[in-house]
Amino acid sequence: MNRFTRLKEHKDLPDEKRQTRASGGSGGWVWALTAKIILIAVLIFGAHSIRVVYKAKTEDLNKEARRIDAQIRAIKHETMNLRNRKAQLSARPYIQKKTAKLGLRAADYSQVQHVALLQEPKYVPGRTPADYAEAPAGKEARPYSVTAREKKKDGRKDNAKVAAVF
Amino acid sequence: MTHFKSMSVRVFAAFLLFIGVFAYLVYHLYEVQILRHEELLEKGKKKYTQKVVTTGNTGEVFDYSGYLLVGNRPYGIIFADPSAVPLKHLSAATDFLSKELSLDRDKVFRGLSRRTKLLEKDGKKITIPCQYFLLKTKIPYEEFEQHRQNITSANMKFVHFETEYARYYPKDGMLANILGLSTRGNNGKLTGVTGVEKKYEQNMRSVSGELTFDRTRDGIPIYGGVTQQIPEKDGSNIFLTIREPIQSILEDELDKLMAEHNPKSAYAVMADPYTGDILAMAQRPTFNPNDRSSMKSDCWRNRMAEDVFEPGSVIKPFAVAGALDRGVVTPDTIFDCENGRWHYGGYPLKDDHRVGKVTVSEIIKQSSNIGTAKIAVLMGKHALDETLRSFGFGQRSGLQLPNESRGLYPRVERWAKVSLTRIPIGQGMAASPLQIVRGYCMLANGGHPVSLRLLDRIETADGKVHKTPRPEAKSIFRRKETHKEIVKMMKLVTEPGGTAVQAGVRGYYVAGKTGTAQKVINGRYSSRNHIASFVGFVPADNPKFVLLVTADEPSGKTYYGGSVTGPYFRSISERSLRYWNVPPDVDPELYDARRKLAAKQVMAAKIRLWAEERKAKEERLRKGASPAKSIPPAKPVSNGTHTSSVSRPVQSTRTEKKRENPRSGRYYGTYTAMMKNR
Repeated sequence: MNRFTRLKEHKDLPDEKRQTRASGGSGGWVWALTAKIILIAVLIFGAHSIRVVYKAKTEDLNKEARRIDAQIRAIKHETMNLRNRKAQLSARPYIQKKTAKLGLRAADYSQVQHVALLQEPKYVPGRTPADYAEAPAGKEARPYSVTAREKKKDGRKDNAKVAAVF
Repeated sequence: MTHFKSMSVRVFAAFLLFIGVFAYLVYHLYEVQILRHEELLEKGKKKYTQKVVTTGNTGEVFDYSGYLLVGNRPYGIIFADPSAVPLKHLSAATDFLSKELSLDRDKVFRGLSRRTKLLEKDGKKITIPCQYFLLKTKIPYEEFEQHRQNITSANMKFVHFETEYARYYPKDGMLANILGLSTRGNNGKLTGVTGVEKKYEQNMRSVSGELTFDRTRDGIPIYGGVTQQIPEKDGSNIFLTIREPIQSILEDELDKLMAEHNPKSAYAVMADPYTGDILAMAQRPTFNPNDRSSMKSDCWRNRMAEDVFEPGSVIKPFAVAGALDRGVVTPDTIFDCENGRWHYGGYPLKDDHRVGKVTVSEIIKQSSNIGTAKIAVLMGKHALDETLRSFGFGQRSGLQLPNESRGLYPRVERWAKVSLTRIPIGQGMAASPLQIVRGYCMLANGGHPVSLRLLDRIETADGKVHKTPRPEAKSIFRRKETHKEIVKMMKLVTEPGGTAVQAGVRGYYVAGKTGTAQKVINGRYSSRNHIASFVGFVPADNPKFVLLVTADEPSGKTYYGGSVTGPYFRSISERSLRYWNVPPDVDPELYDARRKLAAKQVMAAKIRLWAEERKAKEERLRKGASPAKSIPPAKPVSNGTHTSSVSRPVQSTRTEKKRENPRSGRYYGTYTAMMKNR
């Protein structure tokens, strides 16, 4: 047994060592460093996690954007197809098939009547539309029709003109 | 050593280790971020940046009002990457795809199981993964989308989908010969083959773009990650002067003409006389560009621009207009048409029916070859040549379609003596339908030269409109009255007594001219093969359009222009005028009454003439006159361009047999038969 070795008491220690002992010994700064490193690691991890979450959201947005792009393309194609179909439906062969199926026929040109005013309507100041409700008697009674007799008369005049040509 | 000391050493050693690792990390960071920055950035870009070539849409073709004539139609392509097919799922994938796409199972299995292929590079044979196997193409878009959904939901990531565009003609065969068609070459680009598709290919072609973007590991583009973009550009759209409803009318009537007269071919062209716009043009036979098997050799050419023919009597109004304009003749100048037989330059010239002494107006009305020839002789060849050239013969019409012909019009120095009497009646020269229409546009609009227009405007993808110009030119007529005089004469053609009574449109004055041209077969004019035409404009005094209808070798009962093409001129005009709501020139009932009276008077005059002829014949027979001398057979005539024979010898006696057969081209003695066959 070593009689000369004894636990040094705090009061026997020089000031520097007293302080060291009071602060927990020579390994304290390591823990501080470690703590700092852990803190930084936690911060980095946190930032990385946020980044991952952000990236995931961005990817979701990308997918959504791509989906919408595909939808826009599909709509464009559909529009194009509808327009082509419209042009096809208005094509003559298609219309002819339909008219044949429905039993329709082309309009007869001789059924077209063109109406023209023989004379301009007269404006009489002070008169109202009610004043024209009843047609007056006499020649003015038929402003827009041609009687058979008048037609025959006109025809005779024109016959004379035609005869003159030949 | 104390316990405390050994702990310090360990801690120090750990510290040193930690510092070492940290230092290494710092160095590595420095190396990656600073030293190898460029190299690694490039590597990263290669892996996560994608370059895609984008293509715009080819321009489309529309009519004047914007109705689609040629468009693009999307279709789908489905292909697989065999190198990415998991082997254990190969059989299941084959079953699914063959069922879904209705394909042969063995073929699909062979294609998907071929994972590598041999490639020769620098003389060496190397094996590379096979990454492309075409499953199905030209799939209609709706069907394609359905397949895409089904295959994607089956999680087959080795199957890829692409969209392409094909040319589509929604009106099938309408205007096919003018629109032409295009085809996709080996480089994948659309190339025009004929017609408008070829002519305006450069304008309609799209410009490719390039898109460089960052993508994710799965290949999905990152939103906002576009690094470079050259935008693609769609091709320009072409707007023609064609009016689709009128085009439909023309096509419909041409089909009826083909069914009734069964000609070898037929065409119709309608143009605006003031602007030169082609309102409609159609030909038969034709084809359906959506069905390439219908493209037979005689179907796909644009005959109206490329083919030329001897126009016949339709040329007469030009010659007469020239003579009127120079004051050589007036509408009332009388010419002796020699009763249908005349000689000039040693060669006989005949009329289809006997005409005596008549005015210039009657010469046009009755289409007398002799009368027209005499007018031309009076005019002189230089004046005639100048007249016809000023109406555009010998030049292109201005339509600028590929392979358009200038026609065959000999230089005046090369004219033979007899050419002076042949060219004004449309023989010894050849013209295309477009040239004839152009000439009639000038007759209709008062003599102002027009260039025919097919292209109205081009609209670029960014909305700019480029309209083709309409040049204006001074009238070629020296006298103001010339236009009115020639139109008045041409109106008589559709009146009773004219050669195209069936072309008259009820309620309107029609100015026109028939043409019944003999075709040249083996160097001689054929008596069996004719080209029947009618060209005119209506309403005559303020024309809405000029219309030409031609039938090549009609094989029905008759071959005359007035009876073959005249009725179709009338029906096309009626329908078009009704469409445009053009008011009539005269009350239709009055019109009918006048025509009836005029027909009666013409008949009465002809009966009188016939009676006089019979009386004269009886007189001759009573006096014991000898029969008329027969004229020797006609020799082939060369007028510098081609050989033509003029007429057959006149028989000494006229028999009933000759009157019966309209196809023999022989002399007609009765007015009734003549009227029937006009």
